[in-house]
Amino acid sequence: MEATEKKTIMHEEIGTKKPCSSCKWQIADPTNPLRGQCTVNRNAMGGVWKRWIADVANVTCSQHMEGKLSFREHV
Amino acid sequence: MATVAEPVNYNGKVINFPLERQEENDIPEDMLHENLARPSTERTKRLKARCRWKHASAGEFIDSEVRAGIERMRFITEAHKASEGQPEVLRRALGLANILNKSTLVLQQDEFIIGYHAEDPEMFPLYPELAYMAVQDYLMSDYSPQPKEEAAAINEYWKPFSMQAKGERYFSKEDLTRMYQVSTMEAPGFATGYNSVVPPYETILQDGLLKRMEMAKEKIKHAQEQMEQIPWNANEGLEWIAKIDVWKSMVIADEAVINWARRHARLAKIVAENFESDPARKTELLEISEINHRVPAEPCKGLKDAFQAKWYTYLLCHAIDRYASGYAHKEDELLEPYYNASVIDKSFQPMTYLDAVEMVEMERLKISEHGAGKSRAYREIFPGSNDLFILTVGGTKPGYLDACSDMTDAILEGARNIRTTEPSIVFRYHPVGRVKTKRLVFECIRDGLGYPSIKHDRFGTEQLKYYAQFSKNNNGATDEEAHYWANVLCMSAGLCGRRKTQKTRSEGGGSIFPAKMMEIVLADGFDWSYSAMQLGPHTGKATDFKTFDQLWEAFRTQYAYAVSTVIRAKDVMRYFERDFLQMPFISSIDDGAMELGVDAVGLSEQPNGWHNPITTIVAANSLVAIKKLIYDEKKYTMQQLVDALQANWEGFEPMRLDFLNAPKWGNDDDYADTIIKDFYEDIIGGEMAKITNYSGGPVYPVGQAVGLYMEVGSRTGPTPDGRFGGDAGDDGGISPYMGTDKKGPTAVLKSVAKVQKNQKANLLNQRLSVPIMRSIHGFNIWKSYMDVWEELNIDHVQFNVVSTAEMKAAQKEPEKHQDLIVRVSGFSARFVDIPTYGQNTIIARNEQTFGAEDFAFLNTQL
Repeated sequence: MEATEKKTIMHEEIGTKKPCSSCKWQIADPTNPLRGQCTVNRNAMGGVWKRWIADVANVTCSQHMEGKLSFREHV
Repeated sequence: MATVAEPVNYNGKVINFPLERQEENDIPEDMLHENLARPSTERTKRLKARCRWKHASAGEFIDSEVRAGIERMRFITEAHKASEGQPEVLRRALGLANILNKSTLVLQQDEFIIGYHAEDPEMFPLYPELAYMAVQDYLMSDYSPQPKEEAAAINEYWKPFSMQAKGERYFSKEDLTRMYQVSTMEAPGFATGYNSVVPPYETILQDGLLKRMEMAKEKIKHAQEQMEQIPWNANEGLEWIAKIDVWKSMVIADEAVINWARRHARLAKIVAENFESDPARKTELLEISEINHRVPAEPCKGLKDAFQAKWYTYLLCHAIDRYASGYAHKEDELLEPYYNASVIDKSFQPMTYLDAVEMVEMERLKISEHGAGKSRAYREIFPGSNDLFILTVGGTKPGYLDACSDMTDAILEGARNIRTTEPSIVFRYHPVGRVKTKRLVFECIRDGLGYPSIKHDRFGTEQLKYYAQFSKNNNGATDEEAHYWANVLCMSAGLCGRRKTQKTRSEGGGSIFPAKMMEIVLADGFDWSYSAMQLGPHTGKATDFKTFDQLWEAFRTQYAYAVSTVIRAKDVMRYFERDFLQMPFISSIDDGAMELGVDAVGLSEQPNGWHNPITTIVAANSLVAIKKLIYDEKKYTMQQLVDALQANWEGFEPMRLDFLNAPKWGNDDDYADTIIKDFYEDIIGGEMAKITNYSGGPVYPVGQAVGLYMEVGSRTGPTPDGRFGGDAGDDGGISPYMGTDKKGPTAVLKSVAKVQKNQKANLLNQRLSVPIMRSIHGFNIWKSYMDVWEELNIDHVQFNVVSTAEMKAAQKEPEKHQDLIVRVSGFSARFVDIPTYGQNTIIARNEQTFGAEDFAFLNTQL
């Protein structure tokens, strides 16, 4: 098994046009729907190494992609 | 074609393993599960085909038609506004009454057991009085109740009154943020609304609600007479006020429930007389009408009565009055008198054994269709299933006499025939249990249902006697009552019966995650991999730990903080539940609440405290690897380990392999097992046992993973057991990490049996060979395994009997594998409804086969 294939460095960007909230790889926080989780990091087994997003409206990264994940693609 | 197991030389003989059912030789190995269902009637076949499953995975519902209804939240809000100024317990009763009086009724084709908890069978209710964040999440989702504006206004109205607002005030923002992430600690009930309950079904079936109402009215009359005594004594007299309100609330609730059931009766009659064209169904609808007019108002007299009254009670306690997961009851003993009346004596609602099996199948499909308005976290952690619907059968009566009956067999046979993911079944295993019933247990397991999971009967019974000594009112379980227990959810024994059952989750349930704690222990409590925040106390830099003991104690500090915080959250919730979330209907059917005039949510007679450590083995294997490679052999330094982990092992592969190949749990390895036994008994159990909860008793660990081993794994960085960041945690409570139990099934049993002290329960997940289990020797091998398991005092075991070939085929063509069921952990799931991540963790589990050494250890007669 190899380690993570994709990497992201999320960063705050107030008023970004590509916020995590509209990104395919973002899913809601398990408790507070105003926060989120990034699911873009994967390993060869399909392991999803999540990152917590404190402010889904003002955080972005280079992996931003519009859309919605199927339940099969994350966890 | 089917695979047949290789012959084994055992006791000087060559043992061959031909399949027990010859016709299976022609079934392809990767299509077996699609050929095992056999609904006992055309009716249950139709009901299964049109069942509206409400499976969720990764926070989403699989069926796109499923959504939240608005009726419950609308009617409870209406009642709350109208009852301002009245005692809170009466407001709760009036809220329930308003829901029951006004809710839309659902009556579906082919059903015999009727009743639903929302306005449409595709819907489920929401609970704004519990957690506003959970409702907000629905409002932002595809499953929002409609009209959305009305639902949003209702949620806004409840915010200041909600359990969440009440509970949050007593925690720092820092602690709330840590808990809400669900990475070291499960979020508190006041922020999720998640709950567990064991309804006292016995009273409603045995007494009927009219009798319960009369009892409450007598209590009110007596209390008023006492208050009017001359001379007035305030010390005693004022105590009657709260009690009178509680009894009044019971009367309001019970009357509403009777009226609600009778509305169903009228509906069935109207349909029969005006709309039904099939004479047979018309007759049946009239019978349904008669039953629903009579129960639950009156005592049940036959098996049809009992199934219907039980179903209404379930809906009320688990979905309408408030949401609660589970389906905890000792179903075979509860139904046995009515089975005897209908099937044996044929004195009321006469029927055959096969009719009883059909009733079981119909009930299973009602549960399968039931929808739970649970928060996102709980839509993530039971992937491929609906909710934790789990009933219990088997076990013993007082004196350790076999409690199995023909009703037990009907329940098992119905489950085997209809093949549904839920409700799951727990079988209490004891040597005196009859072989006929154990054979049916085996057949369900062999057919890959993943249930029954097996609990040690004596273990659970003695445990409840132990907890009884801490009863606050010196009225804990008697020896006789201690025999009458069921699993509250997946794993933990709790009393059933007319009183002393668990009413809320403060007693037991809730999770903490040692794998994540292990990660932050190596970073001074800081979570560098998921949230980038301080997640626990400062316990020092790992590179400063000169001895293994210092690391051990740092872990203890992190663990003690987490476990105290989450149990405090549960008890704070209970405090407010007692005063603002009373459950008058449950109180009315609990003999203790009725006798004492205390609401059942506040009343605690039998302590049963537990909490769930999940991913313990990742932490334990990590400690073993660190001790061996850093402190004992000094092959690596702690700095090297920290650097390797920060890099997710990239550039450190030889080092990762060393840590991966260090001794692992589940191989009867003394080096690993000595450390891990201490870890379980001293820290995991020892620290938890220091806590005293709401009920005045200690709290003990119930290790179980559910789907949280995936969720927490995805929020946990790389760990010293050789695991990569994001990989799943361990899938049991005491199970070996997937793929690391390499010395066969009996080595696993030997390791697990070493942990005994300070534990309440621990989930053991095992995957057994399909060709062996389906062979002519399958039952003998399984039974000899189970008898040794029992002798070794192991609390629990559950099994997957499903081939890798079939799971991989289902990944490729999910539409062809709708009947493929697997055991995840504590529950069973439809394989194709599980995310790929989770499917892979099940495929990765070792498929245990059996060799001559195993047969010798098990003393298997072949």
